[in-house]
Amino acid sequence: MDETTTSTGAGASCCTPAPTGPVPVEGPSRIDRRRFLSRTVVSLFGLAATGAFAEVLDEQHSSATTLPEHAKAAAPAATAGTEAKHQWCMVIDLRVCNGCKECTAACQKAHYLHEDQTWIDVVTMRTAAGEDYYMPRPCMMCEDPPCVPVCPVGANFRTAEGLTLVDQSRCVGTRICMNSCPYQARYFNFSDPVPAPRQPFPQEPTWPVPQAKGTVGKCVYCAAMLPSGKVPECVSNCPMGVIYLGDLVSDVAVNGMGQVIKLSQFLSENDAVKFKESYGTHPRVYYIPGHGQNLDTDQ
Amino acid sequence: MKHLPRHYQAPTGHSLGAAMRALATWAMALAGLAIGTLGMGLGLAAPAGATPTATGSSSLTLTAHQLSGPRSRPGAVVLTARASGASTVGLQVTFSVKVKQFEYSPLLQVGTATTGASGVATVTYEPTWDGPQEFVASAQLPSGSQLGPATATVSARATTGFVGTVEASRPDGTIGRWVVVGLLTLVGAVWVTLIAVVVRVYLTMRAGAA
Amino acid sequence: MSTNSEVDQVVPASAPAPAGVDEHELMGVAMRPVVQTPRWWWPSVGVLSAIVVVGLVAWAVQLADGVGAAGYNNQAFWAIYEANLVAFIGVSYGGAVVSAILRLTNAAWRAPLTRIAEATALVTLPVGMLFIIPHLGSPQKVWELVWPPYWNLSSPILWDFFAVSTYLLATLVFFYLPLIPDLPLARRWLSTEATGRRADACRWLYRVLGGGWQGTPRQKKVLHLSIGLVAIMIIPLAVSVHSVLSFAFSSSSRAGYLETIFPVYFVVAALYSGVALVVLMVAAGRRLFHLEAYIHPRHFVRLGFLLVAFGAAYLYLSFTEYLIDGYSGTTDNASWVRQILVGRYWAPFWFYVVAAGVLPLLVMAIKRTRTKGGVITVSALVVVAMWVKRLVIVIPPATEPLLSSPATPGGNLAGTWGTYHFTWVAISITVAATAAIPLLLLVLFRFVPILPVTEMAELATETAPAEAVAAPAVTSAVLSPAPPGWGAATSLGRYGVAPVGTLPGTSSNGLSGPASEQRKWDR
Repeated sequence: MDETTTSTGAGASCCTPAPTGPVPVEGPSRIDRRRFLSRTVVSLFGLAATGAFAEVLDEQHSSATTLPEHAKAAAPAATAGTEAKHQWCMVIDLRVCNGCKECTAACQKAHYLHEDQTWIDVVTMRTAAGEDYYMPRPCMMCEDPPCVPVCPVGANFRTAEGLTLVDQSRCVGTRICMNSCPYQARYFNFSDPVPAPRQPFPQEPTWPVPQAKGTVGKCVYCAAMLPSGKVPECVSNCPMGVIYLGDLVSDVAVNGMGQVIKLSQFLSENDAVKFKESYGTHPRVYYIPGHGQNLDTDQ
Repeated sequence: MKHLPRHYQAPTGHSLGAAMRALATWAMALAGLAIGTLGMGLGLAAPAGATPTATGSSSLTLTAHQLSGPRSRPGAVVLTARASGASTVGLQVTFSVKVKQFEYSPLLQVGTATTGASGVATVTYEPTWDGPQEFVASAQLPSGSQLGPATATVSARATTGFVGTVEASRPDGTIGRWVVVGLLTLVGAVWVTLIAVVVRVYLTMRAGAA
Repeated sequence: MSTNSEVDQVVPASAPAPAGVDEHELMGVAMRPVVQTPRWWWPSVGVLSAIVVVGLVAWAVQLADGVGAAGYNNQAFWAIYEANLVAFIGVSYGGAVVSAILRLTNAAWRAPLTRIAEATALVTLPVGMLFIIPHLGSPQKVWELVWPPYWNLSSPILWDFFAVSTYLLATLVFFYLPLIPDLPLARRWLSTEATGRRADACRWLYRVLGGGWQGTPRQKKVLHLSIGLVAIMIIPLAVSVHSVLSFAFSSSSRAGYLETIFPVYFVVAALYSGVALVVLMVAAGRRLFHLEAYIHPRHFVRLGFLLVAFGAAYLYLSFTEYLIDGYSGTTDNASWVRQILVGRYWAPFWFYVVAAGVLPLLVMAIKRTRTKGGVITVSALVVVAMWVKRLVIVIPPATEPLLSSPATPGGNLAGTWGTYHFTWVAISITVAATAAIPLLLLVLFRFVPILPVTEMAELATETAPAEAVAAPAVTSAVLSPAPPGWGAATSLGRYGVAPVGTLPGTSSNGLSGPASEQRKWDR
């Protein structure tokens, strides 16, 4: 990572001998020890401060999108979002979900996940009237993902196309991202992952198969499949056409039955809501209510 | 399923999967072509980019072009479907665009129009993405048979760009930046001070020993 | 325990006695753990080491099987190791309190306790830090935390790492600096009183670490300034450590973690449990190394007051936390508070309330129980109960279902609460860390004097005149320069340093007797 050269400088500045500034001429070429020490301390302090400053600014430049090398390769689109070709999102039509959990099964099959790793989970909710309904919950692909800034080693990153991914080769497994995700959408590999045969895609954040033990995994919108136009497994395997993969840039979305919608029109006509929007996460999953349910949008 | 959503059209191939639906579309297009070759001679000279198709004695042609506009805001794409043959007036023509972002290029309906006295139906469409866009028009004849689909491709520019946010900014994020700078400086200063204290005491001791 | 006779055996009566304090004699007492190997020493070290080895085996099992072997699951992603991290780093605060706060407030009675307190801090802090290893899912990648290119400066965990490692450095410095004047003294003592390879090794160590110390005015001045500076620095550092530790939890949107009270809450909890651990370690050191003549019941009572001060503050903070979250009535908060008060976590929570909330207050409030034994008992309870409280802090929010249905009257229809399962792996590692603390202390005091001899002597000299005025007959007799007839009586002033030797009209070990002691601490 190119922006890191300055930071190593900051680290080293603590140990390198620092210039001591002009030598006081009061004594015969002998530096008073106290003066020497105080000057050394001051100049070391200064060095450390400037180094830290540079590092932080660099850090901030690449804040949410600190991409590991191969992740950059995976998302070669321009860094500025509007120049990216796609901004992926999902639309989930709660009116037609029957809670069959085919999406979960397909996802777990494709990504070789354990049974408790429900990257897309279908939770049973209840309306005020006492009627149960079902709510599929993939990763929300937040525009301000709380999981990204908390990772101490920057293993979480957001691609130019709006996908929040995990670099499992870097993840140290602190699980603090599981703490920060308000959607409970992150799943840890507490044991050996399900063995997977040779995959059609390289093992990268866009296709983290097989999972790595001791790291966090989550829904990736089947990111490796998106460039070829394939929709995620949960979308294509939903027999009810509940889940749509959308592209905010071209303003279209498609579900597993090939039904295409004009995204903006569909969302506004159907009063789409986002889940836990008050958390400031700006999720990119739109729910179409229809059961009178409260999706906790105004908490 | 408890109740169907209001906004769903009668599902075409609702029970079919995406692949089946694509196959069906493909088969329909093939059949249309096979029959259409018979009435080809009757069709008007096709404009560029138009593919005339016909059912029995009727045919449908589609032309598409983008209206010129200022560079910042390109004009809409005008889709013109021209029915010719036996009954060409009052046909309901459905216009769609192929959404090539997704596999099997599913069709997104962009509008419907009724053919006028000259057998022409027109809709305008505001493209939402740049590049070649393939449009499809089809109509239902009074006899019940399908007219079309006719296709046309035009290289268009999106009239409306992406208007959402790409990366939501944290409120007052810049304050945090300075907090971090300050704290890092503080940590560095603490380390330097602690080490300096030990070094100083050690030097004093060495001086004492000497 | 007849300590006095043993003291007399160790301290040669012929030692020269400067006015007030005989540092050489006192060093003899302080060096006892270094030169003597009591019968219990090797068995204790053996048993403790065996427990540590079992913990290491458990860790190896966890490495092979994954963190799941420690009972974690997706709805209990943080539990015992995170509580241990907080609790073990927390108990290291005792050193900061007893040494730094009492030093800055000029509480001279601290003197005999400081070395043990600082050593406890020095030992518990790395043990606590080590919990980051089993906590991590991929400990083989822990180097990434010290690799600046991978640093994500917006992460509270990275700042945890910064804060704790800085605090560790400060603790090390704070242990080393007050040790310096003792080192030449100890070396001289070893030269005259001990032989053998261990003594040689210790002499070499003391020369390397403090060889040049001669006690010149300049050296003293520099050292005092340095100790004062570090004492001032270590308090905000200690505060920062637990504040930042709490950020790792509170930088989320979970009910029970997202609490503005957390930094204060964590710091006070750390101080509380830290003082409790110091009490235990001081009690153990006093008994095992026969320091009854220097560490008095009144030391325990004073530490007990410190303990209840922090304990009361912590009880208050807990009360406000649960009150306000429960009162707010938002689904997540209400459900979380309910689970703690009367739900699945009621038992550990109320154990805390009784053992570390109310009981210490009662014990210190009632005169009959306000004794050494009472304070030690309460401290043992506090150390355990505060660990349990950390579990109550860490586990419930991590197990709370977030995909609840707010419209549901009971809430949380969708999510069921997760459960953390204690496994033998997690418990073994925790017990091993607990055993490592006394083990490391036993080993540490094989190499350094257990009492800060120079500091005790200085404080005794400084405070002696004032004490002489106010003291009853016994004390003033002690404080006057030792009469020749009393042999090597060491007079160390009022602040917990009792004389060695026989005094007319008192029990054989002077002020350390419980009968004469109990009334003096509140004088």
